[in-house]
Amino acid sequence: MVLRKELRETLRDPLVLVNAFLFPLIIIPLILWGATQFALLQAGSAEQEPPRVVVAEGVPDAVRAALLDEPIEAAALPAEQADLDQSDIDRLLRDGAFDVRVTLERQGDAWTAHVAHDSTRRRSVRARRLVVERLQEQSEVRVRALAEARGLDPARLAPPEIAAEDISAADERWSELLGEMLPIVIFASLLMAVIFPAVDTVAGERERGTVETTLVTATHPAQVALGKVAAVVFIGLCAMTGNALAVGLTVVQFVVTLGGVDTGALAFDLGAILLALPALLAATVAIVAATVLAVLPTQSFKEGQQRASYVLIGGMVAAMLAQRNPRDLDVLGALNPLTSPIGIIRDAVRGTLGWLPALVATAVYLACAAALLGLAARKLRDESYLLGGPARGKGDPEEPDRGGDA
Amino acid sequence: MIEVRGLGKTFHRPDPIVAVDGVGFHCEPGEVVGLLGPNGAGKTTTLRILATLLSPDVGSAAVAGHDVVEEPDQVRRSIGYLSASTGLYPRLTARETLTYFAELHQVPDAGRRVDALMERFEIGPFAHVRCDRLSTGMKQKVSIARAIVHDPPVLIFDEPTLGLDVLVAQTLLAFIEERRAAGRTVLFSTHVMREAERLCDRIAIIHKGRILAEDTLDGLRARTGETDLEQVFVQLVESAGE
Repeated sequence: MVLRKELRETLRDPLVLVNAFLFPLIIIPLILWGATQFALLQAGSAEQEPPRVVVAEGVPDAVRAALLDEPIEAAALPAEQADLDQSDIDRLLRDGAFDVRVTLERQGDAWTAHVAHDSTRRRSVRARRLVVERLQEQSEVRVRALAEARGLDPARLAPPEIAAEDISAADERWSELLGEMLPIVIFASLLMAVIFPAVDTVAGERERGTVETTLVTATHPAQVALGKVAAVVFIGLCAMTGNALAVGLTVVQFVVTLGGVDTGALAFDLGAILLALPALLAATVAIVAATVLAVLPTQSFKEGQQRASYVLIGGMVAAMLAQRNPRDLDVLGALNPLTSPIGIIRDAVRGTLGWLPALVATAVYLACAAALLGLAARKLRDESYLLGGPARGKGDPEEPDRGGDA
Repeated sequence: MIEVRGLGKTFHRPDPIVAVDGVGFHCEPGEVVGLLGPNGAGKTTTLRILATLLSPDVGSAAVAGHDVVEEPDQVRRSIGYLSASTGLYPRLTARETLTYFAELHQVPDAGRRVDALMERFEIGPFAHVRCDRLSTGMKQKVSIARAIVHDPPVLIFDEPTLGLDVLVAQTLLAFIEERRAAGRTVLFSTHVMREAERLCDRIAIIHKGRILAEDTLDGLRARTGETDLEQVFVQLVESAGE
């Protein structure tokens, strides 16, 4: 009944709804969808617009013709600006009058091509890439011509070709990417989701003065406390699952749309994911217990929220730092409660999570949760929990006479 | 119904503060006893010990025949506890609040009991309104109904009228009189003399953690030779050398 009441009350809290459900299920997908559409739009518009290139005087006709071939368009400086200096031409480039300016500097047989572009404009970046490719082609043509003129075999002058090969499969690459992203998102969303209900159920209850009446009932205080913790854990798990699904599916959609990857290549190992669930459940209980413990000494919801934020953000940063060189979680890593949460999620997504590290991590989290809940229970039994509440009416009645009038 | 003997409680925050020092009194069924004293006199600590929220350092207390230390569960079943600082869950409705506490108290047929209380306190039209949207008076009615949802034989009220406007306070005082007529024991603390004069069958005057006198209003008047309770209180405090 405590769990039911806590869920009912917590789920009516707009802050919890925003953090635990609205944010992951609507805001994150919307942001990622928007980013995808924007990227597609940018890519599409850059493809549609022909690059405009200004080629300076002195560039050989053959090179000029190659540079200005389709889809590149020749751009000319305005007639009235023909005698502009370099900075004025660069300003025109920045303003988008054209996309790339090419000049050639000759020293005997050698020449250096200067290619100026504006990296803040996608169209200019694309133009530069095309120009550089064509200049390299022209350079090779020129080398071949010089070699032939001197009676050399042009093939002997060609640099060795490097054939790079990625032996990883597409699903492994995307699993790796998700394995890096998802743990951070899931961990952060879990922390955000549990902060408000945990603080509300501890500091908030004391601030509102509802804790006394709850403790003076036929239900044992331990049962009440257990129901409260269970409710926060439930909310945390819901938020974590929602976030994982929302971010995971949106990222998958993102890479499928932008990367042209076949969705079939993104299959996950269900066994590894199921193996991670007990450890994640135990970790959630431990995180909630740590939050409750951190909040217990605080006097108000605001103070509790502040303190819980410090503790949880500190924990998250420590966990991130502990994962700077991620490799598959082993038994030794599973013994460290700071390194294992991110490792478990990452390895589950990669499909490399072993049953032994998962089991060890689950045991470690359960032990941590038990220890933290035990400490919280001890603190709850401490009478200062009740006495630490806000001053009542004309002063704290627990304090000896402070001059109140009868 | 309530028996308190030599109750003592010292807080350490970190210096020791004696909040209750050898307090003793008793309440009979159908009796309203007032614990009268200024802020910081030890009223709340005494009532919290009786409600099993705090444990005494010395002395003993029994409620409805159950020792507060040895049988806290039985004591909790026997009391309805209400204080000025106790609030309501803002996001629960009036009905949900009463139902929740009925379930916590393991009341059989909780729904019928809640219906009866809502009718008694005229909460019905607001049954499905969230508590944070109720008026102060309606909130107080819900609080009272919550405290007696399990129909306890003993009511412990800690400054229940503190911060209430006159009309709401009158509702509460009328309720205490009604409980007395129903044969329930009511122990309530206050620092408002008029409330004590109106309601109490007996008054225990507490100051700096000690009971200075416990008697009927007439008995206290006769002992001090004063007619006004405020003057009775002042004289008792002065004669105690305070």
